[in-house]
Amino acid sequence: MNSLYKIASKSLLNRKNTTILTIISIALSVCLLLGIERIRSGTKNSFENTVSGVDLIVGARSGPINLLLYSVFRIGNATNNLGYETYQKVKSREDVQYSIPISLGDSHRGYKVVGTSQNYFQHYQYGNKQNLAFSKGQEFQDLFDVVIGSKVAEELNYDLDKKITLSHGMNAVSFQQHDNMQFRIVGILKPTGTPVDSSLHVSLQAIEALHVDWQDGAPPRAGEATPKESLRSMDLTPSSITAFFVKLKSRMAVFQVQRDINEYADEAMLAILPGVVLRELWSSIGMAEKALFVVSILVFIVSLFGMLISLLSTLNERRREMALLRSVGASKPFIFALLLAESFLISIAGIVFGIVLLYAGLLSTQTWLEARIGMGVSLYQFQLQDFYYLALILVASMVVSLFPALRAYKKSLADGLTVRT
Amino acid sequence: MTDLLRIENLKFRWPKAKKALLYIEQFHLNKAEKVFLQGPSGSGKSTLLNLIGGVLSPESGHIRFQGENIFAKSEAERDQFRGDHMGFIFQSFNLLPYLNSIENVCLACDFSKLKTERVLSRSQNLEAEAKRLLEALKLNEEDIYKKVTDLSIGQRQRVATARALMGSPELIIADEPTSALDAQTRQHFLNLLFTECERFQISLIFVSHDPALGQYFDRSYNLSEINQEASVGLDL
Repeated sequence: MNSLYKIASKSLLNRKNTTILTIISIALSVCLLLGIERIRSGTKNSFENTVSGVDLIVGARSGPINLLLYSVFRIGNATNNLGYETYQKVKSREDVQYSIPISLGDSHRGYKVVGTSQNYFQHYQYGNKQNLAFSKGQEFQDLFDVVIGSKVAEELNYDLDKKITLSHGMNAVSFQQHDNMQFRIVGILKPTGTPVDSSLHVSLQAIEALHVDWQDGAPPRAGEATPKESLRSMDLTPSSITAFFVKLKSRMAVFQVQRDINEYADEAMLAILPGVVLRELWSSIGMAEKALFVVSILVFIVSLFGMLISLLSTLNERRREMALLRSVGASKPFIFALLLAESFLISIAGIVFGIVLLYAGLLSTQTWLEARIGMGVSLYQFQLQDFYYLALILVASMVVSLFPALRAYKKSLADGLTVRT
Repeated sequence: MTDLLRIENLKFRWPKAKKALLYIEQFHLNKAEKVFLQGPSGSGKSTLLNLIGGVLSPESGHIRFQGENIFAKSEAERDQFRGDHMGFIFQSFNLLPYLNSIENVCLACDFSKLKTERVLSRSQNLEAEAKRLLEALKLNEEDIYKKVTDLSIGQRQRVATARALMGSPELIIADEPTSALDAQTRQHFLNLLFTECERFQISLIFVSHDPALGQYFDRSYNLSEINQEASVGLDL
């Protein structure tokens, strides 16, 4: 066994250029296979953690995915609003720890405006139960304060104290500007990698104030808008909101509260468990996940062919080497095992180098991935599945190398101790 | 003199060949005897060496080595037997290019416990014995540790001879080892080989197509003299 590995390793070193290239190709495929798997699970986790620490999301009765899309991902529109009174009733239930109302419908240069309460900044959680944090400034205090997400600040090059106007509707270019009242940026949130980064946040009262003079969906005529100062003294309690997030004191109560909300007689509402619906949504868009996996398998197959070619291409020139080994007493099974041992060493080196590459890559991009696209990639959690993949890579390499090993075996049989070329 | 090797009624035919390539009715080699086998390319020299080495099996007949019929052994036993009792020197590619001279010489013991035991019974370790043999074959200290690819052809043949001698096998088979050497180096090489074989009482079968070398051996044969099928077959 010692001779086998001594000869195999020295023989590989003697052909170090092809050996190194083969090791690199296997390392890349290992890195890609595990990396894609890591990114896939990271993306899935991040997706499922777009909102966390929330037990229920409540909106007007529609489909669960639709509710999730507009309330969490800010995609699409609500079919209807919820009465503010209804919200107050749910909020005041004894089993509710806190709630976060949101009111959607306005935008600023294509970015969604979210009307909400202070609870949003205190309790809204994403990722691994992380709270929102400010990179600059603070929560909104005044009626005309706005807190913007990191992406809004970066893309539009906004900073604190900048005055902006909001638009009615969700289009990037709107002809219905609430230009009679300007908002002052008082806070910029740190990146979260969630739709929060692309949102502007104002108070529910601000949303109400924006629409005070609007009649039947039409803006006030020029000169007829209520002055800003007068708005401050008005009762701006909203009449409706779009949806709200609920955190319960005990998770045990979640199904009871969900049932109560769904069966609420005075208003048609829908309460969903965000985790369940997120997973449903992921499974429906999970084709990309499968495609990534298939790509990494293909890369691995290519690297296996690389190894096969490198072993086969040197086989002919190694016939004399085999004959020489036979002359000193090496058996045909030894020649067969030598080729397998070489593949084994190449595969092990490729796997180790691939893992090193993967960790180097993850270490150097982890912060960036987390901040820019909100993908929390776990670094040190080597999962059982990863071992399965590595075992599969090793077994597949050995199976592929059976072919050159058999060729070497047969050539060794034909050549005997003397090679005529 | 005692027989080391005896060939009786040995017949070999390649698969699908109509006629046998070799038929040797009688041939023997005594202990410590040096025999020269001459024959042109394709006369079956290499086939005979493969048969003696136990790599090929004959259609009929047998080869007895120290009284034991080689072909009564299994294939694995024949491989082991070859490793234990024989040493080979080839015309070229005698050395593994990725091992140094010492490692190439010690390779003989990697596949033979018997050779290892023999070496260790008279030497401190394998490396010391390899070095001793290389020095006896006139390789200086500097050359011993050179990469084998940096050695001259003559030096490489001497390293190969040291490997064949390592562990004192009963038989050394040399297959045209001097073909690539010039006349002076060839003579020097033969002298060294004979000296070492005599020192360890090793028998030698030396194969070459050059009849001029026959004079240096105890016995000299043209393969056609002992091979009754010599005129027909082709050694592929």
